[in-house]
Amino acid sequence: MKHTLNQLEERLPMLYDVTVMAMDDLSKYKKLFDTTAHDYLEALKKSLTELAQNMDHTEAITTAYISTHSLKSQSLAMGYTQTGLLCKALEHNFSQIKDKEKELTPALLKKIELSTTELENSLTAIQNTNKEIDLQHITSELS
Amino acid sequence: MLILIVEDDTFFQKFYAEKLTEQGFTVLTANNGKEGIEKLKTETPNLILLDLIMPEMDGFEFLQAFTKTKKHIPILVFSTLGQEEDIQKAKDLGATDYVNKSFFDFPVLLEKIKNLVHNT
Repeated sequence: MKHTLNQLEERLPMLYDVTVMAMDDLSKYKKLFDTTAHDYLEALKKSLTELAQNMDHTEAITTAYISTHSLKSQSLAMGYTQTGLLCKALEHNFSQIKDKEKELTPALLKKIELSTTELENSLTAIQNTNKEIDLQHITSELS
Repeated sequence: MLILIVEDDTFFQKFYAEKLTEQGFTVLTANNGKEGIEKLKTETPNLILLDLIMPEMDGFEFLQAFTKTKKHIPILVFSTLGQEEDIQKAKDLGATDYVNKSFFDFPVLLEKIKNLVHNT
């Protein structure tokens, strides 16, 4: 079930004030989205594996940041708002970690890993049914 | 009319290339800022579409390197949700305008492209 961003914003105060615009017919780009989203998800998961071994792995942090940034943009453009906003929360965390504004702790890494699992579940649901799953709770946990 | 798209995201690279080609533009693509600068050694596009977050050479570094080419080409940067501060930084480095790719509206993009190309 898709939510408007206004409904999500009531629950997620860290969200920016945005308006969902009506999209072009993007259905013909669905297959492309599924493929590229999968690639970015795999890159993110690989980064998390590397970070579990070494939480100062600079390249892994940068890859995770770019992956979540790209997934955010694609998801929002295709109208998968909750998925996009979860990616936004992940991107924000990695941006802060990359810029040394936040420390990647074992507890934070665990939260990120759980969020990534839910992100994967949503992308799988999108691929199979063209509908994302409810991610509001996990997004709140990450902000 | 030639447009150079400097964008690492395969989805948006293909998406914009296809939509712009349908409109009659010739499109070149580069996967990051470094490739974009390399393309400019042999090509002079009418406009550059530039992503800001890219590996190897990001959009800001591209804008700085572009200045050294001495070319005068309008540059439209892609912004996404949460990058509002980056838009101003990009403009300070020479970007002409921006478009939000998170909430995509192709007619708006097309109009901005046509205005920028016709005004140069």
